[in-house]
Amino acid sequence: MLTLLLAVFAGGCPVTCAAASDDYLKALENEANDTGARTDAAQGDAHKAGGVQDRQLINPGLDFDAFETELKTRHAGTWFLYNRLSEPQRKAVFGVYQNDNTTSAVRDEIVRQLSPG
Amino acid sequence: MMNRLLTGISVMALALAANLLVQTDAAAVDVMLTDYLAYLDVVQDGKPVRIQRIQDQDNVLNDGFAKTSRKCPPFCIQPMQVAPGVTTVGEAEIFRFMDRELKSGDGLLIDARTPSWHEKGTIPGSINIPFTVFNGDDDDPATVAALEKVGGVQRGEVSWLTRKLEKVFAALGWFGADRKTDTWDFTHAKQLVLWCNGPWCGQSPRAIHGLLSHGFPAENISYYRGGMQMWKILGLTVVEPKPEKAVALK
Repeated sequence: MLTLLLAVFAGGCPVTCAAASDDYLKALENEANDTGARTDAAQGDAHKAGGVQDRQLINPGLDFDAFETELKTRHAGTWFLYNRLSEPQRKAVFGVYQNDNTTSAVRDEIVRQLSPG
Repeated sequence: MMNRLLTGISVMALALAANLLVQTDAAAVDVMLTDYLAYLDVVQDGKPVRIQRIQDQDNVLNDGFAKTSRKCPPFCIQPMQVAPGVTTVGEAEIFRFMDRELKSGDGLLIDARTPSWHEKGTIPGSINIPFTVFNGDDDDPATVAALEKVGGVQRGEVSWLTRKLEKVFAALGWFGADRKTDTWDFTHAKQLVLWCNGPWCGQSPRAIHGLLSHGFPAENISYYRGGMQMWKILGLTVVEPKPEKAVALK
């Protein structure tokens, strides 16, 4: 108690400020858990997260490997066709995805690559 | 055999449909970043990440960043001007910063949130330095490491006379003396953009005040007030960082 009073009267607030800071951190951690929200990112957990959940979208910002993993795990139908493409064709599909992360755009490109001529 | 046949038929059918219907320009982007910029590449954890916007114009947020209300305090609406001399920026300025200072190494984009927030998703190109680190003392190793990371150099013994002169020069605006304190030299301070969860988040403002308390020059600090909430509202790319890249909370 004496320490607290001394601290307050000394013009600083080491004890009270530390307590306030702890409370703030506690509130932040609680809010982080509540907000939850694993985001629309590359690690494939977006289903639970509430980021990009829609199958009409592929998570944006993925590198080539993560893009393929995403197709394989979340878009089995698209993967089924994509899997038949050669490496350069896959890269072309990835290029389209980088500009447009809608599943339809990616599917269209896969189909275009598969189509003869 | 039957499976192969079905596969062949479905591929042919799709290919035919594609020939008939799909003649779109693959490079066309309906939802650009700005009126002159479709996307932007930055490096995250050593890998290139393309910043773009979700192209589905019917997409809506459905995660925690769609939430409108949180208890205030502590989650109170922040002012536009977080501290004198500190510039508040929006997304377009962030893109320019990414393309210039971040790419050249002259700047850092700092996610000032605690690791538990950072690891759930961050703005590509960001590094995580929690606000608590900037609020540490000059003898705290984590604080020292963070201040060195942003371009500070810890000073050794400085004579009384030198400091006196520096203070005079600082008042006159000479020789960059205003960038030196008793313990730190921020002559080569980097350009920083700090951000946190959005206009209701106090983490980056606290980090900024922490930096200023160590003598970091205000003119080298920008505050992205919109933070993660605005970033996500605009459908911009978010990445999950590698866990080991997150700085431990003190």
